[in-house]
Amino acid sequence: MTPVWWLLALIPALVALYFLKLKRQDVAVSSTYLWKRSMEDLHVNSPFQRLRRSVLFLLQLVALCLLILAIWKPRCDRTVRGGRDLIVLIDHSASMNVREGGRTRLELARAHALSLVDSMAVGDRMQVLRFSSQTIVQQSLTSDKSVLEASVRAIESSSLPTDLSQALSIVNSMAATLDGVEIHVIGDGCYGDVTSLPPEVKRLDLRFVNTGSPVDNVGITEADVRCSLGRDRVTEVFALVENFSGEERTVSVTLFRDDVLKRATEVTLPSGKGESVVFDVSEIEMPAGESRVLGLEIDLVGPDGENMEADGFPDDDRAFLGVPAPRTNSVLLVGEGNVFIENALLYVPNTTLEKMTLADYEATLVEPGDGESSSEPRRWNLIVFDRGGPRTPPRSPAIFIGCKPPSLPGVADPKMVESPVYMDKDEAHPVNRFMSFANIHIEESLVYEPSPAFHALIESEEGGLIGTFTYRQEGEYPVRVVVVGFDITRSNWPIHHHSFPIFFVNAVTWLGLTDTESVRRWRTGQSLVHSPVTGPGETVRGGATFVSPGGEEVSVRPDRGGSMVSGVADQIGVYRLRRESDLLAEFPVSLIDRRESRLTPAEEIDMGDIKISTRTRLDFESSALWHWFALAGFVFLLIEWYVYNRRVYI
Amino acid sequence: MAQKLLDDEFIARLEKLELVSRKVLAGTFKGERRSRRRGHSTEFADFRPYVHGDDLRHVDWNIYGRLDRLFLKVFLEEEDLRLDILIDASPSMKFGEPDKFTYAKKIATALGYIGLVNQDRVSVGAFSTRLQSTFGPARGRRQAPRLLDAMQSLEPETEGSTDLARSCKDYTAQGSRGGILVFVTDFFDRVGFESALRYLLASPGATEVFVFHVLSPQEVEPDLKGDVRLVDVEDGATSDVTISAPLLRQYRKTVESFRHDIRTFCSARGISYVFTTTDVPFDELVLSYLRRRGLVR
Repeated sequence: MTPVWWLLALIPALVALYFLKLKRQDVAVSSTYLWKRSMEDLHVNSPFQRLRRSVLFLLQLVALCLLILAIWKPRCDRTVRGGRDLIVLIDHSASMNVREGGRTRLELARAHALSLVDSMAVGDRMQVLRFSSQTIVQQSLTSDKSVLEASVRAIESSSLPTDLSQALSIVNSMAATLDGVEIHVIGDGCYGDVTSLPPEVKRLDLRFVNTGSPVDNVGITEADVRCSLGRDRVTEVFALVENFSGEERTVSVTLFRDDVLKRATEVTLPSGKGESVVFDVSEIEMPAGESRVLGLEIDLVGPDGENMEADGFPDDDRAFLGVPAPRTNSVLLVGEGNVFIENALLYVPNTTLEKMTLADYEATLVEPGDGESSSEPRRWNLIVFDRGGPRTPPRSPAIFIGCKPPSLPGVADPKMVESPVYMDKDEAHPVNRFMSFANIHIEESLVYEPSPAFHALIESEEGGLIGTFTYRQEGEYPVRVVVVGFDITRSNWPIHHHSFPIFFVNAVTWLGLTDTESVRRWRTGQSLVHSPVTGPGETVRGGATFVSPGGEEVSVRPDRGGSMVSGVADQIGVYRLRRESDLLAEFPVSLIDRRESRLTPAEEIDMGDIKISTRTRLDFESSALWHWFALAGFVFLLIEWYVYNRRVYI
Repeated sequence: MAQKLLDDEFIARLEKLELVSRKVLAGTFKGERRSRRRGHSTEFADFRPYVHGDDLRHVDWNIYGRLDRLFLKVFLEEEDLRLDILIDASPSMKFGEPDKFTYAKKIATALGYIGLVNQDRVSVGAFSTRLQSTFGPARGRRQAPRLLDAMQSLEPETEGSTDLARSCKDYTAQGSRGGILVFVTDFFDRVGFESALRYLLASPGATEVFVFHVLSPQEVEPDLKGDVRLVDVEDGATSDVTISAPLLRQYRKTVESFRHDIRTFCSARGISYVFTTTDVPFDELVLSYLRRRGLVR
């Protein structure tokens, strides 16, 4: 509580005091004549008469001086030593928007930071950083208190998730140049797992100040759109709603498009439990050229079915999802025929499969003119080369299975390895979505050495078994390919493992559709990337504008590959990429972060071998003297009231 | 039945007392008291030369034989004594333990009884804001029961502030002739006591005034503590005070000063001032104290 709030709190007490009268017992006397004469004589004859006559004035004067001193916020210097360097990290993630007692956690954190600034002694310096999913220097090292206070006040709320590990790693690099630096992390303690931090980070002089307390919350912690792989082509919206409160909650889950309610249901969530909600959205009409974004929203329902007030954390009460546009993918299978691939391609939605031998494929290539390379006579969305690759790079996205793609610039020649053992995979890549590669046995495989040009998706000890590569032609959109280094018929992958058709569906989706469409929901803190669908030889077009949900516009230029990247998405809602009046893409952005939704702050930060207890207040506050002055002022006001009411001097 | 003001034993002791006037007073009727006026009693007073028309029976023929001049023997005239008793019946007199009004009534009754027994003309008036006659004037032993009844039934006022000056002015306006005036009061009048006593002194004749200043022990030595609101029983005025040792000391000084002022005023004007508190035994006051002060013998 700041001094001003303390003093404001005293006002009602003072008003009440003046309304209160000292309760006196009535005593009947024959005459008050002699008593009054006695009091007058006592006053007249008492020493320091002039002083006593104005005792009320003097008391009021003293009280006023003390209150002014309290507002001045004096401090006892003996507890503060000068010459320190402090780094203050202020959490401004989404969970810091929670209101507690009329103030948000971020406001409380700012107040803590300001008191820390206020406690700085002569010679102290401070650096202020704000962190969420990214860490930004708010104010470089300075001893200027006014500058520091302004920078702390300028920290705004966000809807971003938290990444304390990144923040501490950055601070570690900053602290390396400073001696004996104190690091104060001010936040709500919802930081997630930081056990894997490097030892040198754990050895920092860290002090965690916790501004949060447990808050009840119900939120959407997962949401996605999925299309069934069967022939009925059902499109479903899935949401996981979790109850983080101590009581059972009933919530209504609504699905809407363009603010028009489309689906709704109600679920009852026991304390600490979650419930999945699935909506079939196949029948929802989404005309071409219009928004394909669906919104999910939850509302608390009271015992009588009425909608209750939202909980203290609205950011996770809504989520946005993009529904992929239906399209027909034409796939060409080049090879001698492979029943496994053909069956797997059956699971790829809206796919027409064409087959031809490698020789036939080569024959269809249009002979190039001078300075040009050969190209396909027509466009396929995808070409699958099975156990035999073409002589020239394809102009369409392709999957090479058990063969080496032609001309891989920047990639070392692959080597054949017998019985490679699966080691790792890139969890984040869309092609590996829902994929498990455990217990896959391969007779032999080409393995590719990871490099900037070759992105390994599945790795063995010797190198990448499956990866991606991009053919680039100057002035044209790049052509992505997926490379599978081994003959699938010489492995147990297609026979014994469910991941084989999933891999194909993912790979075809990723290669045949744009990134924007394949990623159906974005999280705050991610950079939005637009990679347009291109045809063979299509040239890169000009820039466009990202429009945030709040209406802010950011112009972007395409890179060499034609992709356009926005800054970090920090707002919940739908970002839109426009080129003049054309809508190029929509980016539904949601929080969807279980760690942020669980609003119970940790009492200690578990860093593996080190556990650091969080504190709810700063040590420096103990050196503040203002509340003693305020208390003394209040006591003097009481004395003044006492003297005023008693009418007789002590 | 209300307790009798004076018990029989005490009344019997009063029989032996008589009021003493330090001044020779002029009465209305022949009485048992010497008068300044020369008269026809047997008590010799003086001689004076004979003038035409004097009663020859009072000529002292022995002096005529020796001096050959006619002188008359002058005898003292014996007249009755007027005793007026004014008793304060204001609400403040009800205060105290024992209460001041009962004590005042006892004083008035005792003195009145002594007066009646000694053939003095006795009248009793009660006052608060105005003077009202309660008994008399009457004389003779036979009037004693009436006096006792009247005093027994006399009650103090329940409201209204004391107006000493007005009450004394009423007494003066009655035009009573000289005698003894007994004035019994607590002197609690915000206006003051001076003008009241001046009115008494201004009454016709050489009135001898006895002032009885009666206070209760609680008024002299208050037993109060803490934060209290004092309520005046007469006018309802309140005064918020916190009883402290300095305040009590000052109060005692004020009471002493109050008594001193009245005593000084009375002494300067030949008024006999008697201060008493109601815890002083009444018989002791009358039989010992008043004897010493010369009001009775």
